[in-house]
Amino acid sequence: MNKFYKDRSNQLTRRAALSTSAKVAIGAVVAVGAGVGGYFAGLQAAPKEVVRTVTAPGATVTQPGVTSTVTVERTVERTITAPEKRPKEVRVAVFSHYEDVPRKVMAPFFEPRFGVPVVFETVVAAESRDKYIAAHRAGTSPYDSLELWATTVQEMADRGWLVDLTDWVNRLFGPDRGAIADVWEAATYKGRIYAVPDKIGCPILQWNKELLKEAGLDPERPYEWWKTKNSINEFVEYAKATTYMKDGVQFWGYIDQWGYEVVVQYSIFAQMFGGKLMDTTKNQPWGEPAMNQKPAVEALQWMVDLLHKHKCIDPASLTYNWVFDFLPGYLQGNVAMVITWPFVTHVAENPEQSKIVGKTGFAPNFAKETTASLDGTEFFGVSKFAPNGVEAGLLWLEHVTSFDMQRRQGLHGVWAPIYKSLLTDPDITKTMYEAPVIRISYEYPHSAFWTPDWERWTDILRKEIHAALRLEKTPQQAMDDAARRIKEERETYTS
Amino acid sequence: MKVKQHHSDTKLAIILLIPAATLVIGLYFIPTLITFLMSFQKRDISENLFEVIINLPSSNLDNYIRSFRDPDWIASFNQTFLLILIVTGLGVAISLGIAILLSQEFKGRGFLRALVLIPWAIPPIVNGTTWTLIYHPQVGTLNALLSQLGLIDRYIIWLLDPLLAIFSAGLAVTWRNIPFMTLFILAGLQTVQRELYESAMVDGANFWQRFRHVTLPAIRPVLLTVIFMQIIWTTKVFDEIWALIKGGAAGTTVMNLWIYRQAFEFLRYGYGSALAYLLALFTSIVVIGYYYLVSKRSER
Repeated sequence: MNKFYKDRSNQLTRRAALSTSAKVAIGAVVAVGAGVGGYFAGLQAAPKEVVRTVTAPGATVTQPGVTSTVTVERTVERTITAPEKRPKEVRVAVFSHYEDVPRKVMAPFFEPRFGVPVVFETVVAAESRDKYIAAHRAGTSPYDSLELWATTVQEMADRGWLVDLTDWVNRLFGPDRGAIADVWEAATYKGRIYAVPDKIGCPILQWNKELLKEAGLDPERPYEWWKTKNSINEFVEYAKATTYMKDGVQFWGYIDQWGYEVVVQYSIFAQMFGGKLMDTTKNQPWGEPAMNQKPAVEALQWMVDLLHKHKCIDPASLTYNWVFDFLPGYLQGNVAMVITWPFVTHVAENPEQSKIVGKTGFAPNFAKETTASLDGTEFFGVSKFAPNGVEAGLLWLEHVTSFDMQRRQGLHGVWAPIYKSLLTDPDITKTMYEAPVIRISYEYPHSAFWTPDWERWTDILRKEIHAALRLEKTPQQAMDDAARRIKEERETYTS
Repeated sequence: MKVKQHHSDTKLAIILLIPAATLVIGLYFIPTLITFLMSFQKRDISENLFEVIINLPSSNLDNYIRSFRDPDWIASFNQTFLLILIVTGLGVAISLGIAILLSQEFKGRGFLRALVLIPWAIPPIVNGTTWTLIYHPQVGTLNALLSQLGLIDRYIIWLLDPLLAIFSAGLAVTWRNIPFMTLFILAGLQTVQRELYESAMVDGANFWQRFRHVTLPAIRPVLLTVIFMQIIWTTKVFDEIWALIKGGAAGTTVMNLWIYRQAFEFLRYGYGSALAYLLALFTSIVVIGYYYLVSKRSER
């Protein structure tokens, strides 16, 4: 069980206890009812239609420096057509790093609701692509519904392995999908939707207030940066002031994952500067390389300066490939600022893992033209080869995206729910306190420039970014070379 | 009667061979053939394998020609070559030292011989992951050790500079390979006749002279085998490089890793197959070189 989920289960308030008891009682009655009903329904034809209406609650949430007032967003209304023929089960692939929520929080409500059991199989996220591709390449799928990384959706859609969900999504969420955060880019291929989001998250700025205070800086100031144009300069000053050697210990102003994931972080900075890495509005679905245009090149120059001119980022960042590589320095209290995933706010406040408990702040990232981040949403799709039929896969999608399940995810998970209103729901923000910051971040540029060949072009780009960071090329040369090589590669393989 | 018995034996032999032959042909021969044919085509994963046969007339050498212009493939070739030098040179030198030590008579020799096998029992990916913790700049044991010994005042980033990164990775691979090399060399050392050492000592030869003129010539065939096996194995290294460097800033990659990425990450089956055959060609050249040297020696 994941630590955060376990910790919070102990923090049961009286109100929550009463509410939970009531829900359990209602749930039990519904379950028994559904069980009996399901038995008889199993003998008869499946219901033609299920109609359900849920109203999103209003909320006002105030964070230090981040105030979000949200009234009722809209009514989330769904009309679901139940399958003509009920599947015997629904097989779902879930990621190992987050399987507790679908298994323990969502699954108990599935069978009572649809009269069909759900069977999970755990997949390591990093291996999911290989697993899905190998199966689909052979014209088969062990799963009706697949949990998907954003990197995989367009690629699988391009090969015709995912079911087109556009009409289903429009019927479910309305054509404007306004109740949901802006996370559809990765799921959209040639204007059609091939997956639905089940949890969202984007990198945000997190900092050690004590290190800022010790350097004579205002520790509350970073709360304001996201709303302030050119606050990136103030960030650099803060990073410089907090980079020093003391009693043989090196302190760094900033640390990042500029190794294998450098493109992800560069995407954030390029968008802050008003730039793009790939113009996905042109030459769809591949897009046109845009990393060699002025704003993106300026962003890379800024990264080079941070490393070589200001010398306020730990140079070991170039060898850190993911968040857990650089986290020890931040959690030990040797690093002032990081841009990373929201769950780190909880890790930093866990005394078993962190020496900076009670000293941290977090907010949307600082700004150049605007603030910016990167969409790290995870999705569910339905396989073209779903063993229990497409309808079986759709049942899980309907369940996982339902407002009540998303609310439960917000209450018990560490990744944010997809509905905007839930990101400022007072019950949820009591424990998922970073949710309003995620909501704000999604209102500013947050593209990852997904294309079906994302894996390939980002590999080329990564090498050119590293060439610039090692001072082997100027940022302009490196990005020109990246754009040229990506075009050449595409001429060979997409012609 | 005898002829009849012979025929029935042959029949039985064929029947008994069928399952094994089917497995070898199905799982080894056919994939090898298909991969070879695929290497001459611009093949993508989503196309049907039977299309490889259908598209035979459109086969060409484009993938092979392209490999000579692929900067990443050329870089991975150079880095694999460097890795071979490090792993083979360092590995043979260290293993030879350990083997000589373990060939001496002393108390606890049996225990030490067993101990030296441990790295061999560790799976390569676990070895790679362990070394990432050793090399970690902030919390790695290597920097902590050097700092406590007063040798460094700020941490070294072992995987940042391309040359240092490949050396660090080479050390991790060497560590895993040492037990095998040591055992091999130790076996060779035990075949050297005691009388040769005794005669050398009577002639007044010191340790270095005995090693240079007695030990080394005697174990040369074993050393040759160990060196060539190291070269072949190092061309196939994957796990340690994947765990330690992946695609980090050092830009370090090796041939096997680049083939994997082309075939299974970018899904360029055709190009990946061509690169795999170039790697096989490189390994074959090494094997031919080995046989040439061995046969030349046995002729003498």
